[in-house]
Amino acid sequence: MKEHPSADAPAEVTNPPGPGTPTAEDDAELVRRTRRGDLSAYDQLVRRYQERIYATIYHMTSNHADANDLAQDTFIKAFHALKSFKGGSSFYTWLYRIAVNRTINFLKQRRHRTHLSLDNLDANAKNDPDLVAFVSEKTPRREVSLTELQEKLNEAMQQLSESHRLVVTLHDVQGLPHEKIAEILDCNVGTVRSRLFYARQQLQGFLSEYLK
Amino acid sequence: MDSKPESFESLRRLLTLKRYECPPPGYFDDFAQQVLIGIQHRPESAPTTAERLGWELPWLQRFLEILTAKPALAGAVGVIACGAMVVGILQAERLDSLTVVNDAEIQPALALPAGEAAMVFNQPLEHPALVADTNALAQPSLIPPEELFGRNLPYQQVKFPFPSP
Repeated sequence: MKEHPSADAPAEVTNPPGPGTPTAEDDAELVRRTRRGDLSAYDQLVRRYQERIYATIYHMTSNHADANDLAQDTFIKAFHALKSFKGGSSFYTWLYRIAVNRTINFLKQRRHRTHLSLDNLDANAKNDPDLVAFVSEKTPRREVSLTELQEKLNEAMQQLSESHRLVVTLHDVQGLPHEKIAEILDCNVGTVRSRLFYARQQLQGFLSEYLK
Repeated sequence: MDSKPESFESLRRLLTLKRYECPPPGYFDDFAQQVLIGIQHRPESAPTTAERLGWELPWLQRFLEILTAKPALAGAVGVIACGAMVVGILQAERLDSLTVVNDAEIQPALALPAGEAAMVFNQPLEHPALVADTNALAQPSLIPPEELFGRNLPYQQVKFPFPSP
């Protein structure tokens, strides 16, 4: 789930980098084949987006088991709803909308029983320049471990409202640009910016002990 | 809003930690397979109408959420909707009564004796009551049609003998 481990600022992940990058045309062709009943085409679509959809849901729930169920559910619902997909937006945006709606509905139902079940940190986290700088310079508690920071960060994220947590997840963690987030959430860019600002302010308050 | 990105620099650095949270190794190897099995064996996972509205008409969902969160607003919207319906019904009844009044004004002219009626038929329609109607496109015509659908209609006089008691 290392979308941009070395980026100074969140970079766009709407079009995955590197050669062989899937394009919107590829998606459209795979969608057409899936509609004709070709399950192998849908298998390709799932493999293409499974990590990003899982990551979005995981960062919203901070629970691996819930993220697993919801991510599978998202792809299954998307398959059944594919006939109504008109192509007004990209398949990826449309899929994201389904994932976000499904996750928010789930979070509303489980509002008062949050249980963290965090994924393990990748070993490369210790070498990330941002994290090295953060642990060694910024925080007054230099003895703090990355695992402890991870736990505190997830607890703070869970204190945000769903809409604020979502913009932090999509922008600061996953690196989507404001415009893309506005498209996914069907709101204007100003709303995304203001939610992001407010969410960061709140997070800063929750994590003040670590952010001196 | 975020015109001072440096003010969140520490937070941004801390948030990069979340990018390193990974599911167990091999988790994604059979994820797609699980999805395909789910598609074939979990028909109940098909999206409901409410769920479809959620991603196809998000504004409608937001509106419903606002109404759910604010019962007073929901009540006000309900009152406005009911009021609009009542006004619509009253307006429709008013238009109907106007039409009835116009019909009543026309009716005496139709009830004239045969001789006078023939005179009326041969006169230009000058009486306002005869031309007044709410439907401008369908002005009443008291002149018997010579043709129906462009064809001359043959007619034949018939006499019905009544048996004497």
